Amino acid sequence: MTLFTPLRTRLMSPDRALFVNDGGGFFRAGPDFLDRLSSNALSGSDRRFLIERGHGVDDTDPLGETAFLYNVAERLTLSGPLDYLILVPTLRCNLSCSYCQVSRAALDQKGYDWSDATLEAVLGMIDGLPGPRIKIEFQGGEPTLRPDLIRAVIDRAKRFQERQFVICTNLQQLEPELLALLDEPEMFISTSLDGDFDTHRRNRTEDADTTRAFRRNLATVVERYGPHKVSALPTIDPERPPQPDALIDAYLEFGLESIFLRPINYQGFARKRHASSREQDLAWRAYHEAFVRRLIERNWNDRSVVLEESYFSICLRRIFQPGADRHVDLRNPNPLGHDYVVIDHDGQVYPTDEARMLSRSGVIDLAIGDVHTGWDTPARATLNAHASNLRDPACQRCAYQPYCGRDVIDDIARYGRIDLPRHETEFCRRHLSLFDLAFRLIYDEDECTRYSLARWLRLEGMPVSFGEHWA
Amino acid sequence: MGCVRILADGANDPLAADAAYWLAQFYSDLDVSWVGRKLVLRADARSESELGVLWRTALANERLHHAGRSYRSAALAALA
Repeated sequence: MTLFTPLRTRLMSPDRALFVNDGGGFFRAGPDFLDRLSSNALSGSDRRFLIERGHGVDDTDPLGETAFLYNVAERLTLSGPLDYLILVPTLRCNLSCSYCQVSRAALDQKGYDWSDATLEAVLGMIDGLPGPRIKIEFQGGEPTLRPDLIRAVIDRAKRFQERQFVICTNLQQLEPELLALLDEPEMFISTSLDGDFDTHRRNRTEDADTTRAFRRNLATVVERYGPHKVSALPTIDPERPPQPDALIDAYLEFGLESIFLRPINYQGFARKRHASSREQDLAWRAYHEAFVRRLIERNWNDRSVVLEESYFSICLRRIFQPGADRHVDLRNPNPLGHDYVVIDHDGQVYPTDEARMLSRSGVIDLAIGDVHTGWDTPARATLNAHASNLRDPACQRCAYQPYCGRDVIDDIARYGRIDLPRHETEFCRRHLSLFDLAFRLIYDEDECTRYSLARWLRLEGMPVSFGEHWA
Repeated sequence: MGCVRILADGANDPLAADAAYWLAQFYSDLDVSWVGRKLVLRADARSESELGVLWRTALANERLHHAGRSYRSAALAALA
């Protein structure tokens, strides 16, 4: 019999290497195993361990081979029908943040809202979706400047059995018409909270009255609907990150326990005003790790709340929960313009919100079509020809390939091209660092760490360990 | 600062040459260079013994990659 070992390996600590198979199963082993594996001198118990755990495939065992293929397939995104829309009913906004990602239009500018024809085309497109699920996110600009357009869309989407709507708003105004929309049980609120009063004012609202209005409205919606219906995320200047405790406390003040630690996105106005945001350096990665470790400490010290860094939780779920692939920034392949699209204020259709931002910034036109004539176009096909990490030489050697993803648009945004060697991209460096941290924590024997990992993975109890070791 | 010199034939052993190349790409803190037939690994925060294990890991990874290439292609084709 021949034993195929579909493994990749990466050194985790001075004397321990991580081994990950193509289906995402993993274990840790020392140098002796490394040498036995390298020199084709595996012992009988090595071989039994590898086969029993799905790390090795015996060519005389068709059932084992099928199981291996099944595990690999589970890690791959299957592009389902269109059921996720990001709609931009207006590009106008009542704020002017220095790092605005879409270079929004001023409040009184004309021609930046959906026309009647665009609204009709959007509604017609919604009528044609197969269902039974729909998720619609309203982006901007500030979408709440046009509650009438939002109302028209959600009324039209009532026929879907499962529906979820999200309004991404700066919460500067909370008029009765908007409150009536938010009262809808399927409606959720996403907003930005950069930290304490002064930080938020400096980054976004510019003056104290506007800042007070935002904080009052945020408190109002949390009190009215509960924190489950409200999410917020900070945009952080990596050159001046807040103290982790200060940021966490600013969120807890509003009852918000999830924080999506997001450095300034190299898009829109930020390309000019925050040029250093193109790359996240070691200082940012160290800050992120310190933040996650502080969350672990605080969760252990006060078990009445579960604080989490949202993107780190997504990475963890990618490791342990095959099929967790609806976070469209981290999946593989990452099909563009199929199961979700962005429809802009002028009816143009983009594969992602970042693609819209790049086009709006005048960097490159990444529209794949428009809502009137469709988006099954050569432009979409071209992008999708490069939407997988399976054939990339760096990814083929990377232990984290089964968990990682592909983001063509991010490469275009940062480098203006998609053929840069993968390991030279920010996407690769960032995720190597994130998965390194994830596996350091997975093999951390400290009870405090296991407690937080279990909560972030939404487990009921606390496993004795998260990872296996082979001698 | 750790530093190890490893006897490896980068010119005639493509596996060693590839392993050294990818080692430098995957571990950004490493300085990897060739001096004749010796591979020199340096890193500020790694001991000599750790650098030795790192090289064995890189070689193992490259061997696994080469050994599994055709099987992986066939597996993906089967899935497609």
